[in-house]
Formats: sequence, structure tokens, C-alpha cells
Amino acid sequence: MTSTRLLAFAIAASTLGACGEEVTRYAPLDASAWDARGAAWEAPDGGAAGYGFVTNSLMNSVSILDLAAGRTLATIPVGVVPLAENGPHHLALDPASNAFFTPLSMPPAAVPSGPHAAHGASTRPGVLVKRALDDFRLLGRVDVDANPGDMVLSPDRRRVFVSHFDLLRAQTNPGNRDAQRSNLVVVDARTMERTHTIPVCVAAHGMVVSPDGNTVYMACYGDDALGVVSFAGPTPTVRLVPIRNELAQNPTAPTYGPYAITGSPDGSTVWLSCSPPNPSAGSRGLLIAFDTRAQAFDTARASTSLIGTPLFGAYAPDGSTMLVPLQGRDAIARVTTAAPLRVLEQLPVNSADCVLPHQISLGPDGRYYLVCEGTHDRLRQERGTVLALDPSTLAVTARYEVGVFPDAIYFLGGAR
Amino acid sequence: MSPRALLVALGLAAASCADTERLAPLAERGALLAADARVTRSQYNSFSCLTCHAVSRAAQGQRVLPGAPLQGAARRPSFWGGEVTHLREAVERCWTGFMRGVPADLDGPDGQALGAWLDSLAPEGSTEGTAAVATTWPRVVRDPGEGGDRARAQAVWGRACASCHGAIETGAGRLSPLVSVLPRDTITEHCDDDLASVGYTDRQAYIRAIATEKTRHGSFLGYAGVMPPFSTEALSDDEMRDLAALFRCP
Repeated sequence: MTSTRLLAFAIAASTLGACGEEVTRYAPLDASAWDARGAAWEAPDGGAAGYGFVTNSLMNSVSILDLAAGRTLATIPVGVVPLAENGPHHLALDPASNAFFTPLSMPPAAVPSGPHAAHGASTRPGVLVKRALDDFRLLGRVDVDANPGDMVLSPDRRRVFVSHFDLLRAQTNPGNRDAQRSNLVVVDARTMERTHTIPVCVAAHGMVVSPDGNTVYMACYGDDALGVVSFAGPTPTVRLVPIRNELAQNPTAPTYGPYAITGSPDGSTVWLSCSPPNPSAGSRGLLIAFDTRAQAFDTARASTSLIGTPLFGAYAPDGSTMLVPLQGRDAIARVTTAAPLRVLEQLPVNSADCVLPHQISLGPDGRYYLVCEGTHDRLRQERGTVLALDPSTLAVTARYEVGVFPDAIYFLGGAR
Repeated sequence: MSPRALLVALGLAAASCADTERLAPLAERGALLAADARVTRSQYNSFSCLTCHAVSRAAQGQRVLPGAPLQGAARRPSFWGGEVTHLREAVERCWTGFMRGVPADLDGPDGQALGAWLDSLAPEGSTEGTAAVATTWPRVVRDPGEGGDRARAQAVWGRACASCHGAIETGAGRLSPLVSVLPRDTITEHCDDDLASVGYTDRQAYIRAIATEKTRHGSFLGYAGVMPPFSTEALSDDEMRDLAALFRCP
């Protein structure tokens, strides 16, 4: 065989040897492989009463209450960090985009989880998560600062505001007020990206957004002040309004300690509920109104005669009165909203039904719903409760057992 | 070689050279990827899905694995001891936490193939493996105590630890050079710790607690790294006590 023939055969053989192979092509899927998976929460007919969503801050979960049936429908996990206490703390519902938002505060463990973990008490950043309302799937997440406190959604549902009740920041930066201040973090609700990080005040917690969405009011615990953050202009501006003439001298031990906040539905008033670190100093339980039109505190609408520490309240439908939960002596106070403020009644709650009332809210069925923290049982044996209350008599009409340390309720559906 | 001969050769080759194409379900590709640590595209990853999970309970045999068997998983109501209710979110925890992947890749071709494979392991009508798997990770870990049996520990090691950490003391056969050689590395790292600062007085109790904490919590709750946590259902307290006996300070 000549060399040319050899070459020809070699070409043919090598080509033939490399072809005629079986090539596998994989059939594409019609939809994402991850679709339609997981335990969807299928809402039964809640009738006109709707549903209540309760964040369980020491149980990584949200409880869903069927207000018509008077029962806890489901308790669904919402954490994103494995094994750890994630601390969901308040939430906001956006039915129009089938989403809800909740900040995870990542509270430090009450007991070190082991000898290695005891080496350093690291402070984890908080996480804002966005989940689907229909099946709780994770839609997005973004880190915020450590110790997120309250969160609210803007009226147009485009922005999420997150405050940070960061006492550690205040304690670790003594004498440096700027470094002690916590940030208001603004997140784009659609993309879940941080758009603003605004230093406001020391250990801010409760927040209210004005009806036009242009102003965020913040309870500034360490400053004894109301933080007023305006988004009306091209860049946000911050103003601190002291409760009494000047900001707290010592931000780690304020005199009043404004912690919770309640807004009137018309936006004209913001109420600060104060939880002083030293209630025996005579400043216990200040509840005071801030007139948003005058941009000043209204001392004619203030009380220090409450029997406990006020927290997150709720206006009556006609706006003339407000209910405020009290801790210390667990009770509900009913006060007038017009000047001069009058305390109409202070009703102790039955400890068998409710321990540490934290927030009260007007439900879509016209009843008030009182969220009771319970004993904060880290072993998860003792749960918190939610009580449905008759709006006139405040008698308990339904009692819901929820998760550990519930801290807020929000409503979906219903007539109102 | 004449041009004619060359043309004949090439023509002969081309005429008979058509590849045959086989259309396969995407799950088939997912099965291959499930055993391949390169799936997450991280140069530091040594884990595949099948490092920590068996395909089925039967396939697991006597191995002690941190992850639950995957058969039926796609139809389970919850994962991660009830912390997660969605399969994708459960997978993403492994993908990012242990396998150093990026979440978006789960929506790419390889992630879709893995999802399709998991789905194929949970066919409609079958209930095999579809119940939630009990998984308990004690949040607080302490010294499991003396009394662990070092001889029994050898067997437990072979079933639970060797596939990643290799041979005891030498690390021979370990999953990657990044994996700790045990118990040597733990002893080197911790036997000189200041016991008072961590609330211990007995150094042997302390090192047993460290080993237990790392095993039970993996890379979570104050630890770093990529080790998955072993639940009390996967690795009993007795087995843990035996393993801890291997860890002794000089």
C-alpha cells in the first residue's frame, strides 16, 4: 500500500471513528423545575372577617389567624439563617403584589450555643425578607443593619423603611453621638435593593409613615426625641424633635425612652409611647402626642398617669379615642385623642389570657386584637397569645395561641 | 496522496458520519450533576449533593449522613427540621452554605436539571419519602461526658466522618485538602484555649464539647466553614459521646 493510500485510509478511519456517536440532548422543561413546589398555604374562606398575620419573634415564624373561625390556621417558618433564632419582628403586607415583608433581627442567643460560640458575641446584620403571600416562598432578601426594629411600607408600596433599635451601637460608642446613631434603611420593595442609609438617631424603634409617604416619624429611644425624616426633597432630611427641650444627655440611659409609636389614620398626630430604662425615676409611662401640622409636641395631650408602660396603640374608628396596651401592670388604657388628654379607663388583662400586651390593632371585623408577648420562653413551651376584644366592653371574644414572643398583628382581607 | 483519493476518503467519511441524537429527560442530566462537585462552579467546593444525601433510605445503608434521603423530597411539606417549606429554598441553603454556589445558578440549566431530577425521585402517586423528616439540632451543646468508647468510635467514624475527613489522625482519603484532619486539628486549635473565658475548668470536657458543638452545629451558630450539622436523629447522642472520646488534649 502506498503512502497516499495509507493516508486516505487513515483519514477515513479516523473520521469514521469520531462520528456516528450518540449525542444526548436533554428535553427542556415547560416551566421552572422549582415551580409549584412546597407547601402552599391555601387560605380557606375567611368570610368577611379576614386573616391576621402575627410575627413570632422567638420562633422564626408567622402565625396566620382565621378571624372568622376564631382559630390559628397555620404557623409558617420565615427565617433564612439555619439553626439560629432569626427573630422576625413586625411585618408589612402587600396583597397587590402578593408579597409580605419582615425584618429578621437575629437576636443573640440567651445561652451560648456552645463553648466555641461563646468566644465572641458577634453581631449579625439583620435581614429584610420578602415572601409570597400565597405560599410563603422566598422572593427576595437584603441585609440591613444589626438589630432591625420596626418596619413600614410606604403608602404607594414602593419603599420599605427599616429602623434599627441598636442599643449595642450606642453602648460601644460612648461620647460619640454620630457613631451612636442608628440608620433608617430604605429598600426598594420591588428589587429589594437598599436605596438609602440615613443616620437618624440613637436606637430608633417604632415608625409611622405620613399618608402622603413623604415623612417618616421615628421613636428615638436613646435621644428622647421624635425623628422626622422628610423625603419631600431630592435628598432626605433629618430633624430630631426632643420631647423636652433637649436631647437625652446619656443616650444609653434616656429619661423617657420613646420606643413605640402610634399614628392617627388622618396623619395629623403621632403618639410616642415611652419605655424608660429606669421607670422609678418618675418618668414612667409617658404617652405624648406630636402634632404633625405644627411639627411640635402637644403637652395638652400627654399622660404620665398610666399604670404601666405604654406600647403600640390603635385608634377607634371614629378617631375620638385610642387604646394603648400597658406593660408592667399588664392592662389596656383607653384615652381621648383630643386635648386635653383624658385617661378614660385602664383595664387589667387576665394573666391567664395575656402576658405582656405589646400591640393592639383594629381588625377588619371591627374588633380589637391584642398581641401578648407571653413569657418569651426560649424552650418554646409557653406561647404568646392574641386576644380578640369587643370594641365597646373590651371583653375577650376569642383567644388565639400563636408562637413564642409575638410582637405584632397585621390584617389581610375582611370588610374594612 | 492524490486529490482524488483524498476526496474519496472524505466523501466516504462524510456519507456515513451522521451522529445519532438521543432526547433524554432533563432529570437524567440532574442525576449526573448530583454526584458532581463541579456543579456549583466554585473552585473551593468539594461537595456534591450525594456527599451528604443518599438517593434513598435503602441506598444509604449504614452510612450516617447529615442530609435526608432525596427520594420523595420534592413532595415533602417541609425541610431543615421544619425551618423551610419550599424545596428550592432548602436546596439553596445547601447550594450556598456548603457548596459555595450562587443562588442564581439554581435557576440556570444545571439548577433546573437538579430540580428535575429531584422531581423524578418523587413521582406522582408515590408516597415514598414524602413525609417530613424529623431533624433536631440542639441549640445549646455541652460536653457529652466521659464514657465514650474509643473502639466503638472507630466504627462510627467510618460510617459518619471518614467520607469527608478521611482516616483518623492522618486524613488519608479525605474529601479535599481543605478538610480538617481530626482530631489533630481541633486539638491544635483549642487545647490551649483559656478555659475560664468559656466557662470550663476541665480541659478534656472542653475539647469534647468543642467536638460536639462542631458536629451538631456544623458551620452555623457561631462556627464558620462549610460542614453540615449532624442532627440527633442522624447521629445519636451515644454515638456522639463515642466520637468525642477521640478528642483528648495532651
